[in-house]
Amino acid sequence: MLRKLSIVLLKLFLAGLALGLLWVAYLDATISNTFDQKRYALPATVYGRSLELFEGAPIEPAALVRELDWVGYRSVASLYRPGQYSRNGNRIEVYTRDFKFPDQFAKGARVAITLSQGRVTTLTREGRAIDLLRLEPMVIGGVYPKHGEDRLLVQLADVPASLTQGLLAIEDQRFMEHYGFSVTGIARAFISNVRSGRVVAGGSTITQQLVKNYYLTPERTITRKIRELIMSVLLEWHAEKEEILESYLNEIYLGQDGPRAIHGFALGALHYFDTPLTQLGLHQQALLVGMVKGPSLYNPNRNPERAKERRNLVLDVWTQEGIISPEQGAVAKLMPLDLQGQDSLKQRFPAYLDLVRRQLRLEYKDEDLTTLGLRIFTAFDPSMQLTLQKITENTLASIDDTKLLQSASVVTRVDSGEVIALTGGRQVSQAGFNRALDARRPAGSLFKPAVYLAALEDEAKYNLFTEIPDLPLAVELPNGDVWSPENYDKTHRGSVLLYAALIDSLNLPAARLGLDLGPARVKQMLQRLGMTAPIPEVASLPLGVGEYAAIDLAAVYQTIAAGGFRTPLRTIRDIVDANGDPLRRYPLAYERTVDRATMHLLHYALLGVMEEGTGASLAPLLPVDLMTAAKSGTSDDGRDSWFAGFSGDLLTVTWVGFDDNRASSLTGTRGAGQIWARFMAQEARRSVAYRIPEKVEYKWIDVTNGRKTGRGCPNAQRIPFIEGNAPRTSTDCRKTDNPVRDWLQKVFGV
Amino acid sequence: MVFVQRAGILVLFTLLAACETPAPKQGDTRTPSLPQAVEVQRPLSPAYLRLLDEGQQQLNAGQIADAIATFERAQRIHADNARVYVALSQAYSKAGDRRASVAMAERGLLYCKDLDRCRVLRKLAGS
Repeated sequence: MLRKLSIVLLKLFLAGLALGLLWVAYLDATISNTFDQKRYALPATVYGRSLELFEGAPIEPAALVRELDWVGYRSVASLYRPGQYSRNGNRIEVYTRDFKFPDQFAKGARVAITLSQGRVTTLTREGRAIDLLRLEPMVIGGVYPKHGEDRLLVQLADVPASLTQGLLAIEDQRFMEHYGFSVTGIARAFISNVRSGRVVAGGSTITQQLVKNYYLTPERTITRKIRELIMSVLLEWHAEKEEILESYLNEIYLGQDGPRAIHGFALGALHYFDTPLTQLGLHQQALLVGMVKGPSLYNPNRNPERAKERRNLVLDVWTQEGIISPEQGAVAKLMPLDLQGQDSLKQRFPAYLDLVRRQLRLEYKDEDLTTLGLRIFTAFDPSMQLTLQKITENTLASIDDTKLLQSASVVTRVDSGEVIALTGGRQVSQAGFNRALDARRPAGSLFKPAVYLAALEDEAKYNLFTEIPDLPLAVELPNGDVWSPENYDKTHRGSVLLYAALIDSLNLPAARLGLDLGPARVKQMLQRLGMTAPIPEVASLPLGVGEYAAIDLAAVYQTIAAGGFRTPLRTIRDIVDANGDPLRRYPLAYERTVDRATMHLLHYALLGVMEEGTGASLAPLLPVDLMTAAKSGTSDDGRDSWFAGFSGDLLTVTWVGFDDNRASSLTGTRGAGQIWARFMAQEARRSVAYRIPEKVEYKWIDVTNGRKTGRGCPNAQRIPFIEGNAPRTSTDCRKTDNPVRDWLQKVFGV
Repeated sequence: MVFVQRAGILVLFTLLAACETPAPKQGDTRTPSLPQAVEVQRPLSPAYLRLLDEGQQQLNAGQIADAIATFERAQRIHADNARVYVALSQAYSKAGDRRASVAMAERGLLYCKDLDRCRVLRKLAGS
């Protein structure tokens, strides 16, 4: 009986042993297969644009200082190390840091920038004149795994010795001797805690903590503890001590920045002190080491007193252990926390980052984006973004009492199609529903330019002064319903010139023109202009039927603004790998999809919108010498207020409306136009000014009837036509174009 | 002598023609001013010119991708100057990308101001 029982027990023991060995083998495989992968896992970092300074670059001294603050430079009286600047009136000296741009490595140096009347006048580097200076770009965010981990990798050799020694003194004094776990370490920690009267050290070794962070869940169970011990021993077997310590330095959790988890001492140094790890003072190193025990409890931003107390305790231990001298300890304890002065701007641009991530995910797997340490260089302009955000918030506050009115804007550079600023809602710095990309609304009158453009391509039939019927219209739809559009003012004029119909945004002429052309041609034109969203091929298409986001309409207006050249909207300029080697460039690309001459006629009319059409009321908000071209749009009952327009350098498309699609009293101009105009007034620097294409000729036209007339005749204006398509009928005003008279006038002034 | 006589007649006709013209109405314009004649020419930044030179050197050395990146950097400084579009068009032409070369040249035509440069751009655009 006893023998039988012994045999059963022996079998059970052997079975258990076999299972245990299998389990250990499994844990071993897990560690050997994934340790390196986890060690080097690094989220992608997203940068904004680099500020280029050159002679004549438009920037005020205060704006330059702001840019330097954003990239973590500190204001000092006299420069002594990289990352500092000093301002003396209009002269700013900067000690730049080393930075690896996608195309070149820039060595840190002392540079001086002199400004006058809002422009850069001179630039010097180490005392010698230079013509161009590129500042390192601001980090605007990252692409993190679902748990939000962010880190910066640092090599052990680059970590200050005081920090590594100090860390071991606090967390694991026998690290260099044990094999993954330490019985004496646990006992020592116990004694240490008893002596201090509080918990100053934990019993887990650094190896155990690393295993816990890499592979295990935080619950406290016996099974998990056994697993932790086995894996720690296995890790010590597979990896060198230095590798384990380096991994720990890069892995340890040091707090939270919104959804972003701060991991590792290198990122911790930047996050809390805005200073590279190598340049931290002893007091700062001690604070970070002290925070390991409880990043939330000892968060210096939230609990400064508690954090200081913990820091000083760590400094005491360092002094006792001989890592620092008593004098160094005493000085460090007298130091303030020395945290970075202002809130980090990182993560304050969620809508723009959302667009960057979407563009990245078209080409990269999530896993690559969150582990390969890619560096993404974008066109994002923090200065313009903050202007847009401020104007959006202030304007909405001034036109809306409900506090529910929402807005979305997309700003691009006309000459490159780069998206440089974007807002996705009223709470501009909060992540959430991104209306610029996802709020799909009818386009209202923003589609009309596409209709008129399609008409103007039929050169023999249409020009800017072709008469279009402005009469009531009833169209029977396939389902038997009747569609009867009306003008905004509910009147009709009988007949109207094409130019006037566009600048006054009349619905009936646009609808009739659309019917004449056919919805297919209008749809085709929208697609040629860059619309990628589904477009319904229906009679009401000229009035904007369908669902489109601001980004969709920005693509269309980008082509218009660029003079008929379709330019993909892009946020990313370059992607480099973790070593800084180029992986991918997103070059400037144009595709001409509309003839330049036809587009010139449309530009003329869109300039007219701002000068005397639906956008004219915005004139007081804009500089007198800034010529802009635009189109307003309003959907039924003011549910959507749109404004899309451009200067020579910037295109902005803005939407204003309610999330629940309720009606409002806002037209395109009274709603979105207010944000648009205020933003353009502040940021646009160049008027719309393209060269007149060869096929275009300007003629004197009586703008009340569209007939040819002469300079100086009543209502005479010079109007562009495609060559040979100017009106043939003339007014009875005898004064016509006279080249000889023009020459004499030019020479003699008669 | 004949020239003076003809000029005198022309002046007379011109003045007579002007007499027939009714005075234009004020404040009744319905069209914007000419869009192109208003631009004030800004001096080109030395940085822009240096980047164009640098890009050209890269192009001569066969570093086409680097040259395009340098030209694009120049384009961000003076996007409304036609020289950079000539450079970009030539770079794409050298890269064998005819379509991109033509598109760059055509885009440059929107900005060219002197006849020689316009001619070069038209040639690159194949028009």
